[in-house]
Amino acid sequence: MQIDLNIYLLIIGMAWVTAWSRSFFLILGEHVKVPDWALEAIRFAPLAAMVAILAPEIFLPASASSVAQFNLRLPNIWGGVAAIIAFYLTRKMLITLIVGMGVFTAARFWL
Amino acid sequence: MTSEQKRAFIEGFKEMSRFGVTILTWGFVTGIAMAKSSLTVHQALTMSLLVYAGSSQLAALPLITVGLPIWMILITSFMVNLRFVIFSLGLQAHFSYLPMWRRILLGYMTADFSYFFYIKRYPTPQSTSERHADKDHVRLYWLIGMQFSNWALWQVGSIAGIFLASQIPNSWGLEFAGAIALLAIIIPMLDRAAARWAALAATVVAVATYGLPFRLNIVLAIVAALIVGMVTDRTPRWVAP
Repeated sequence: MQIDLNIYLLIIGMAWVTAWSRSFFLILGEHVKVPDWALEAIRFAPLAAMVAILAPEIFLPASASSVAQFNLRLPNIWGGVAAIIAFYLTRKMLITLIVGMGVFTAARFWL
Repeated sequence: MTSEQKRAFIEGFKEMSRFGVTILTWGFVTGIAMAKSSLTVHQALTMSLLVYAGSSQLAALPLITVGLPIWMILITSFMVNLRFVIFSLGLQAHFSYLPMWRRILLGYMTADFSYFFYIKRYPTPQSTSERHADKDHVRLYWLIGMQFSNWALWQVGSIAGIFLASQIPNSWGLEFAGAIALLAIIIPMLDRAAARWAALAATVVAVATYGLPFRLNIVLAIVAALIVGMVTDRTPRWVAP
């Protein structure tokens, strides 16, 4: 029971953290004018964030804890590269998923 | 909503929905991870609906299982969310005129995808005079439309994942499908040399620093991409007076 309540407290706390971090500078409102150079500088931030989420999923094993676990026999690398090529050529999500998962699964059997 | 606002909302909703497969897959993967953790179904559903932050949920699950104190898990959540602090700087320039509660709600609803598409369509904030001319706040309603679609698709995926988790064998490697789906959003963004260099820098740094705690590799990758992006960008930034 005690543990149960703690989990719900934690969930509310995490929702609060989401709201707080995502509106961190928004909360300041018109008190602060964000300088143009800062806006200029963060142009590539959203692209970089998504790449940073994706890249380790392709180049490291699922349960990896560090870059030391990189090796060319990982099926994700081959599946990922195949998916990138498939998307470049076709721009079709379904084909990309089938090719990527197909090569990934095949590589898991043979490598 | 005025008719202009409704139009912008629907347009934003449709824009985000084009990437439905990607968002559903990410939600689904998060839902499965929650269902396979120590959370009950009710707790997992509550977490999905209230927290609405996939990466911080995924980071919290193992910490909940080992029974870490709440404050340590909350600090971890914040650290994992650091990229959103950077995004909020971008949004502040566009929406600082809104009342406080709307700013907080707008921030809370702005996950990766909605910020990504918003800043792609509207790189620079409106000037004061432009904003006064734009009585319907078209940009705001376009963003809200995207946020609504993003939220709904992610929740559908996540809730489906919670309920279907026991039917999906681990051996399918479904997390990897989530990664592949993300390509559909990233690759079209690599349309300029500077963007490609920035993405390459982010890749190298994110993988090389993967061992760091709190997903700090994402923040370092962003910093590296910003530097490389600025250096390689050939578009003139300062026009001579």
